[in-house]
Amino acid sequence: MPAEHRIDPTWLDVVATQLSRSSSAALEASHELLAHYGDTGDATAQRALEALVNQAAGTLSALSECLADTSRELQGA
Amino acid sequence: MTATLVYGDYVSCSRVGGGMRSEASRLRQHARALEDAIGELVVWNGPGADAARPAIVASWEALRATADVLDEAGAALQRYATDLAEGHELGRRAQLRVHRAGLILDGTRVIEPWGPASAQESERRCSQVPVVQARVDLATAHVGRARGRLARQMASLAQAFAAQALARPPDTP
Repeated sequence: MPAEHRIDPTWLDVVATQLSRSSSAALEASHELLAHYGDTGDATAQRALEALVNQAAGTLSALSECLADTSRELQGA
Repeated sequence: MTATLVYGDYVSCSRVGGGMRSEASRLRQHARALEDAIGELVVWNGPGADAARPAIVASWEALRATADVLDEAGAALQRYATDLAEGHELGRRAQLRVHRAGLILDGTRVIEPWGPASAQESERRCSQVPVVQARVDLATAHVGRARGRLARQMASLAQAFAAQALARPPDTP
């Protein structure tokens, strides 16, 4: 069995911090998307745009959670 | 003058598209910083590393891919805003032609107004209808194509976002 190569724990903190910052940025982006409204002037295009904005906000929010989880797991490693 | 021929606010569409691209750019910066930090973990191995690394890398990849899709959506919306602005200008010019020809718009259809007119005036107006209608059609077709394109792109990119939401990183054992 190969020996475990330990790493300077500071680097794990750096990665965990960066994951956490990325998580905050993703959540902020999710809120930002929902805060603005673009008037396309057409019902079909408007529905498509709003569906995209909602889906993008949901994906960014899920991504934020995922990044935060990974950060926490790394801090506990 | 009749009601607006082309609806929609290109300024708001451009603002939303620009906002999406700014957020995408910020997320990409975070992805790059995360990539640099992950690079320092290359020498880390053993059970702890084997458990944590796939989740970290998957999170980074998801961040990068989501930023790419968001940038593409913002660019599509900005292109639409440009098309809509052109459509407004084409519509404005078409309406001016309608007005100058002494005609009116019924929705997007160019018609002669009701009321008494001399035979000569009526004939002059009537002869103008096809050419003025062509101007109106040019504006509405321009915007119609742009709207169809936007709706298709938004639907396709929404699916790409949904696929990203489903692509969760592997759980650490």
